[in-house]
Amino acid sequence: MEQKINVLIVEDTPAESDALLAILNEQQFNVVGVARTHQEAVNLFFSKKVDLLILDIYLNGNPDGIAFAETMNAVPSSAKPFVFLTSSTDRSIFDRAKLTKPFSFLMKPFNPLEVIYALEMAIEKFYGQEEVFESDEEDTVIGTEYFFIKKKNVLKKVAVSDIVYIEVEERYCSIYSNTDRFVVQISLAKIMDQLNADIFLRTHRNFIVNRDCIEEIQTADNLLLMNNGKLVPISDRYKDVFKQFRFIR
Amino acid sequence: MLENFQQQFLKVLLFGALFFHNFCGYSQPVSKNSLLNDQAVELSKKHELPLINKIVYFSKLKNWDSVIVNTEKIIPTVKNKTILDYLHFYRGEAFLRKEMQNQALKEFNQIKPTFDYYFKVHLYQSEIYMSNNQFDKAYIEISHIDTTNSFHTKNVNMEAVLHNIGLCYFYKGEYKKAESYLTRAINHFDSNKDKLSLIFYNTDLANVFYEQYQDDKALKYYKIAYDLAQKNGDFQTKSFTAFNMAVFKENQQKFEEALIYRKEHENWKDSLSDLNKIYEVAALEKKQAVSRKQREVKLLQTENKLKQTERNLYLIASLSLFIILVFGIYLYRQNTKRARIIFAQKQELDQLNKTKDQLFSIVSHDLRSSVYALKNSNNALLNHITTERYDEAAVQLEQNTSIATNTYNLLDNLLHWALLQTKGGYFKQELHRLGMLVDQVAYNFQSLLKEKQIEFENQLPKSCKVFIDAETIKIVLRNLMDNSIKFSDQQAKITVLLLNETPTSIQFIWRDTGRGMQEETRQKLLSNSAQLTKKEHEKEIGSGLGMNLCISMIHKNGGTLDIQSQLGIGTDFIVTLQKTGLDGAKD
Repeated sequence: MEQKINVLIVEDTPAESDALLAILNEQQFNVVGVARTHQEAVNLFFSKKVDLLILDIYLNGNPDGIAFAETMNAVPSSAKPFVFLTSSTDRSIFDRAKLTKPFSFLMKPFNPLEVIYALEMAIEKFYGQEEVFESDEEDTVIGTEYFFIKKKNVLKKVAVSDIVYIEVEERYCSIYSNTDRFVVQISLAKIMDQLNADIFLRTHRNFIVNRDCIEEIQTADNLLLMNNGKLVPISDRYKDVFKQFRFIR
Repeated sequence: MLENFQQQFLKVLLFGALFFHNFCGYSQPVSKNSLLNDQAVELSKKHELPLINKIVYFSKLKNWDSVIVNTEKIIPTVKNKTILDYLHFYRGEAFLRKEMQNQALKEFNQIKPTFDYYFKVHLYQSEIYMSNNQFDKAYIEISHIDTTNSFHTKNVNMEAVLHNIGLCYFYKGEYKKAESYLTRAINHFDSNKDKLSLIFYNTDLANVFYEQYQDDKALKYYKIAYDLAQKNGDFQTKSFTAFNMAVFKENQQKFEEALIYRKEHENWKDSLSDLNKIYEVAALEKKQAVSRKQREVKLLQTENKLKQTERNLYLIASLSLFIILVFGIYLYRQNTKRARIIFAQKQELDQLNKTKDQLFSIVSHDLRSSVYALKNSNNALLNHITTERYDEAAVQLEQNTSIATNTYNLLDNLLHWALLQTKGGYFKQELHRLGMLVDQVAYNFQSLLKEKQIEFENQLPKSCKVFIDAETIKIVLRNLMDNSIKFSDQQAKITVLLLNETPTSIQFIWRDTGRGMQEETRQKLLSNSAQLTKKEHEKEIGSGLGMNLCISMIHKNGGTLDIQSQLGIGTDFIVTLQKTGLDGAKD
């Protein structure tokens, strides 16, 4: 159920991109491509499914990295988290770069810890859920299409559409897909806050279901039969939720 | 005046008699107004009309115009008949003195006969008629005055009245009566008074006798008049008395004497004309003097104007000078201020330049030696490889890496130092987990630590967050690590531990069990002067730039650095960092 995170590297220096490739592969990221120029970057960005970008500020001596970030940010629906790669904290460069928000950067030379830290920061800032991956309390950032989950120091993603229902147990949440069960650390409040309320319905103090995955409502037992064959209870308190459905009697 | 006199003279000749008294007879005041004035003042007080008082006052001063004006003002407002009489009287008198005789007569006619001083009205009317040669009318008027009534005598100039009555009789041809009155007038004459009237009285009396052909008596009075004139008279009286004598003698056929008198008369006349001429000359001179004075005044005025202009000019000049002075002082002060600023800047620049020069010398020296060491090491490596001694080559290669790393760190510090000096670095404080940053920095030193067999331990809890700019703090941590490794021997230990945590700040220790440093060095390091400290351990590469950079960067992040060290035991770098921004924002 969990997938590797797709990363696009935009870097004109092979030595740097190779180093990045090595680190990202080591950390179980999926590098969908390495762009050397602005044009290549645009092509790759729109042809592949990209979750995260690493952008060198200077491509062949021009600040094309910033230009690319600006083009990407111009269409908010297609924007993705990104990290600027730079060799200097020279203010003249940063004055323009920092206008592309959210702004995070990675200094050359970098080591794996720094790369991961920068990528995590980028995701947190982009989805406005900071202080997640390095904390002991949580490990999941909820994006629009994916949950980004850090498990055993490795970042993975889970597609929101794959989730059949979520069961909350104390500090943990079990995410159930058609086939799997995945445990993440996240508060229920945050899930309710971030998930699309049109699709995910709360049926019980401990359960949230994907309405598209409901097979059957067993009103007599107050149970929901999900399409993965599991039964989810409905509590009296949340019964009202189903009044919006038109039942065939 | 001369002409007038001549006319009169001609008249005398024509009549064959002596008519000078026409002028002189009533030149003496015939009326005494003191009693009347007193009464008028009393009336003014009684009826509360202060204007009457004023009129009396002006009348006393013979300011006739004012009397006319004031009476005109007051008459329409007064109803009391008595007061009206008084006012008409004063008004008539004033007109009379202004020789407006018709007006005077009109005024006098308005006075009721019941007026206490009505006899005075008669007197004035007679005077008017006399001046018009209507002697009959004059006589009728003057005869109303009773020379025996004491009230009348007190209020009139008696001898003048007698004289006038005499004259009236004279012109009427009643010479006896004329003689009697004139004699009374002369007898009545008070010796203290103006002798000039006496001359006329005598002349007139002489005329009376002359007309009656009593030449002896006439001669006697002519002579008296002549003598009085010689003693007291002016040119005119002297002249006419002499003339009278001359005419008289001529009539007696005593031509010699007549001639003498005539000569005398001529003399006096000449004197008179001379006097007139003198007067004329004097008048001319006066005129000239006046015009001269006027010219002078004009000149003075022009001069004054000139002076004023000059003064204004001076004023303007001094004012503008003052303004220029003030402006000058202002400019001067601005200039000195600027000079002071420039001097301060120059000092600062000098200091920076000095630091830069020192930096260059140290860095170039260090760089040179390390690159030289690398070159030598490379030569040795080549040597090992050619001789196929691979174990030694591996050792040599590790050494190379170490040298390269050190050189790189040096250059990195140099770059950051330069950025710090130009304030050109990007700087943004955010919340970061300090332990993560320490791990990230330590990652790069893993091989070095391993090589020196130094144990590194990061005891900072994961929750330890600080409000810092990550890149600058990483530089600090890198330098601390570099220092600790450099100044530690094999199997030393480096520990990072939390010392103290408050709601606003975090204090942690970077501890190594290295060689430590002397107090002097410690002080030098902490002084954070722009001057770079000399290195203590000659063999090692180092410029003091690292520590300098550390302190600057920590300060920039709002933190502090302290060092505790014991030679041979180790060094504690105690760093304090803020948990929040100065304004409390966690941004």
